[in-house]
Amino acid sequence: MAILAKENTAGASSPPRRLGLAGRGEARAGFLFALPWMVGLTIFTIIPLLLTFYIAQTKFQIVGAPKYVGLANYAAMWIDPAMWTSARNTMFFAVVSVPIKLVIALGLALLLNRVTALSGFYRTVFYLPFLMPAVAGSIVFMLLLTPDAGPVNIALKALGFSPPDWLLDPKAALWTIILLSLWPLGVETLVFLGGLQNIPKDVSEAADLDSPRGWHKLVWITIPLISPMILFNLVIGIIYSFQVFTQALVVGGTTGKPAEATLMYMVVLYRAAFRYFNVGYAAAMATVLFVGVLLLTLLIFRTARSWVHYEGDSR
Amino acid sequence: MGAVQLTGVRKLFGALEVIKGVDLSIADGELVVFVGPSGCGKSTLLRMIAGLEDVDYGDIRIAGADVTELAPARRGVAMVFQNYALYPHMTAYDNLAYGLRRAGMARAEVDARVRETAALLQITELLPRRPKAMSGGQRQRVAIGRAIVRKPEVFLFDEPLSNLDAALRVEMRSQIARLHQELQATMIFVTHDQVEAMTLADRIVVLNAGRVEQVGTPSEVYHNPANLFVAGFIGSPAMNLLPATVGQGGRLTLAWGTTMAGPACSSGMAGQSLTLGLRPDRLSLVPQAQAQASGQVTLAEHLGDESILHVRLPIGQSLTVKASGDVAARLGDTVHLGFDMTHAALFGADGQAMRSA
Ligand SMILES: Nc1ncnc2c1ncn2[C@@H]1O[C@H](COP(=O)(O)OP(=O)(O)O)[C@@H](O)[C@H]1O
Ligand SMILES: [Mg+2]
Repeated sequence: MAILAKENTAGASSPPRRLGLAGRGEARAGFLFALPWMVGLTIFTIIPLLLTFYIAQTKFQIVGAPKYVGLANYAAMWIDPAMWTSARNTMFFAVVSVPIKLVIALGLALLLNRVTALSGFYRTVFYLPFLMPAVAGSIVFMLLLTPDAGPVNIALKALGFSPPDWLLDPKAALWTIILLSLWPLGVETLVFLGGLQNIPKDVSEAADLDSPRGWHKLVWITIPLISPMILFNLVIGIIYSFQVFTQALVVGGTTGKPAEATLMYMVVLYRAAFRYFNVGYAAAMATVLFVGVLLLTLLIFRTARSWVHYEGDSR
Repeated sequence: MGAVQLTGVRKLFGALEVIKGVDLSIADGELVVFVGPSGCGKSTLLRMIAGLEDVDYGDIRIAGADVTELAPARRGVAMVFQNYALYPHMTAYDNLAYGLRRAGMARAEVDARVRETAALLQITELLPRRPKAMSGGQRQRVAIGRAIVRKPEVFLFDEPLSNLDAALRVEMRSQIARLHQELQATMIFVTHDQVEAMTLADRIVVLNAGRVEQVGTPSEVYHNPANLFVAGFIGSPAMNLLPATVGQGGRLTLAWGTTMAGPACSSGMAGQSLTLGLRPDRLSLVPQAQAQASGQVTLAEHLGDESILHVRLPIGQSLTVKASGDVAARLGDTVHLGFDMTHAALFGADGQAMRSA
């Protein structure tokens, strides 16, 4: 007994680090397989990120060398009304569009999850819009939404509504962007569909035997069981929504027409970098966005412990 | 109260008819076992009673009410699944409480019912655990608890023990039998294991290829199989089935020429070809002079208190003999067998049993 205990402590203080010959080869192969990805991550993500942090502390106008200015760019941001307007618009956009997007995607996934002869066909059709560039999609929607000649307003008028000018009414324009951004739901829907199809058939049937109401099963069984997919779609959705750009640029140009109603954070950033060549300022904006989204994501992951159920989790 | 009545029930998956017209009446409080080979439609029939599969033709009544078109949760049935089907994100307590809560039961009453059920099944200490943190046997007890807690009219079990190891299976089997005693509820239990069927059932329903072959008590099904299928399926080791022809005075002539007195029902059937069914325990080792058959041992299973001998006759027919444990016969030995015709069964050319009128 004493000997055993002694051996155990010895083992604990010097854990067996040595790998067998096969293990070492395997480790090397694993490292080699991961290498291209690690090189890519370093060159295309980590180095630019560090560069951005640095450039944010300089005055840099593309030509000439960057000049160190400390926190001046951040100070300029603090008093820039366009930055504040765009931040407000972007936050509104994120808060409204992400939940709507998730709810619609979940609804579609629930419909697609029903076994019918055509479900494979529908799945393909729902994924197709995602293959179309966002610019092209946005332009098509703008044509549809043209105030007098657009089919949407013609239809709404025929039904007795008085539709807004989707693109020029400051109250409506931001909602138009939200609408545009909802359109390619393919990926979110497929992620949810994957989650739904992972729910064991007999668990779902047990729920049918426990309560006849469909929404009971949805709220207490289905949604908790796809909570990892909800978390994934939520985090990705937030990251992307704070970077909304294409739709905003197509609808509002670089000035956020009408009346800065559609001015988005990324548009102001783009404008600073490529119109005013104030790259240092743009880098400061990018840094703030990065830190903000990072904190938000960490916050969501923190709360996720209480509402996300992972398979294999025994807590 | 919890009687179950099936009338002309049929089920098709596409063009494949899986349940080919089942009429069945199960009395309140009865424990009925559906038994049959894999793929014969046991699960499908049970799931139709549960409402998890649509009924294509015929109707199903539970406690007198037609439930054919009713949602599963409105039928007053609870089901225990082969793979437990517990809600993985809930503790055992919540698994049990879920159905009660959704039915709008008050919190205190839910708690009382859950604890009472847990005590009955001795799973109280499992209540705070998630399914992942339980063994197979524990999960199955919780799954049974989830069925019991709702006090259904009818319990449905779909091979609930087949994922458990042999010792646990025997224990759970007796626990289900005890539950049936205590709850006095109607239970329908599906299994492909005929030992489970024999030990649990008030009545056995033998299914084959979507049809009911026989309904009867375990003893009826064992001693008076209705046809060759039941005879071959029920009983382990399986019944010996021997081709025979009827001669003068009902005497039987077996394939290898031996003649012997047949059971009462064979008289008056001279010239007919039949199948004689003899349980392995009706065959015994005898001196050569009294033997009805002789052959070589091809497999000897010595199980301690009994020995199972597989004997091959010179004409190729194989016979199974259940002998006492002290039999010394070994592989390759020549043995002589005597037939005891009490409980012998006879089957006509159509495979149906002949009954002595
Ligand atoms: N959903 C289904 N679609 C098509 N065929 C099915 C389906 N479910 C069961 N079957 C077929 O029905 C037959 C009976 O199945 P089942 O009731 O599960 O048999 P058992 O439980 O007796 O093993 C099998 O041949 C099976 O392949
Ligand atoms: Mg089955």
